[in-house]
Amino acid sequence: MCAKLGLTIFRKRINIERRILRMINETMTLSDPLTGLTEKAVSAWEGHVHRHYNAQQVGNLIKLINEISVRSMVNTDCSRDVFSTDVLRRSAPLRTLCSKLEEALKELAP
Amino acid sequence: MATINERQWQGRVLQWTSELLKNYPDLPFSKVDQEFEVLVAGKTRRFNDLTLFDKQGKPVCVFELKPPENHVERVIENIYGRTCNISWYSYKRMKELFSQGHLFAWHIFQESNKLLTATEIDIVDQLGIPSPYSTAREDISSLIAILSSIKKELNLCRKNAVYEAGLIYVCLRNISLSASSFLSEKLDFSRYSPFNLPDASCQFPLSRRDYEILVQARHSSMRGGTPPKLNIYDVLDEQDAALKWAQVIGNLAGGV
Repeated sequence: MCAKLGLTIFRKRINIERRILRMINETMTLSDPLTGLTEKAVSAWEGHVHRHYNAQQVGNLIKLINEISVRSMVNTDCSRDVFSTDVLRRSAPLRTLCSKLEEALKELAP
Repeated sequence: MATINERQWQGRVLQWTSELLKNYPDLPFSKVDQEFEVLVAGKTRRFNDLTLFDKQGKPVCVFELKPPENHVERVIENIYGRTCNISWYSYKRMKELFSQGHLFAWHIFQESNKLLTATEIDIVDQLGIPSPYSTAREDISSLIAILSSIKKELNLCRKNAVYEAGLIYVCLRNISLSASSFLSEKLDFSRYSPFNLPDASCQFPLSRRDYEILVQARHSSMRGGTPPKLNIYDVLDEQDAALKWAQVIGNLAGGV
């Protein structure tokens, strides 16, 4: 892979992250927005979500965000020739996951 | 217990799989090969550890052989006393990056630490010196495009300020890294590379304190650290100053 392709993949990842973060942060009325789509960023943010919404309301949403996080990482990770066991699982394409996220967010919209 | 490295392990699995195919000719495979180049979606080159071919000689199944990540994490944490993130690169992929003079290859060459014992063969030693890095102009141009897009994104969604501030840091650091290839004596992979460029015409416009806030923002986006408290207008000002600085660097690189 050439260096240029590496940066193209980076830009692709940024576009995905911006789109997802915009969807979430614009809809959810939280003082602490989600700052990234990595597993660690989502996990750190989860605490804020649970303080404002009940677990039943956001359980599916968090699951979807985590799935999108894994999917976008696999789609754009330059290093990963490998699919570790936790990644190698049936998962819907990113577009389908985004539609599901949009639906889940609609339910939370004030 | 005798130790075995990843490449020896791969060789043994290759041999064992070849024997299986010879002993069971009814299996729908003709042969197995290692580090065979496969094109994914017609463009991305993958060199998987092992590839199985069907009777017509078409690659139909690939394998990657890796020690469990948690084992590697433990080894690294014991040595460095801190947690780590792991990415896997095959030998062929590394060879390709070294022959391209990719910045990642130079990073490994200049700054990597060995985890192996003295008797084990280190692939970085085997790969030698990477080819010269030659894509600074293109890389800086791509990073300037990302940096330019931040203003529009901030106006679209102010709640993404931490994410966008983190991107400013990534762009600044990588632009100065690329620029160090023609402005400094050696490539500068350090976090503070923008402050280290020697050319007086490209004096870095942000203070250390403001830069640290951008670093904190990136760490929040990637590592889940505490996000900094940001003023959106400060972020916009920093993006503006950073972009002007990046354009000067771009001109020094030969125009972008």
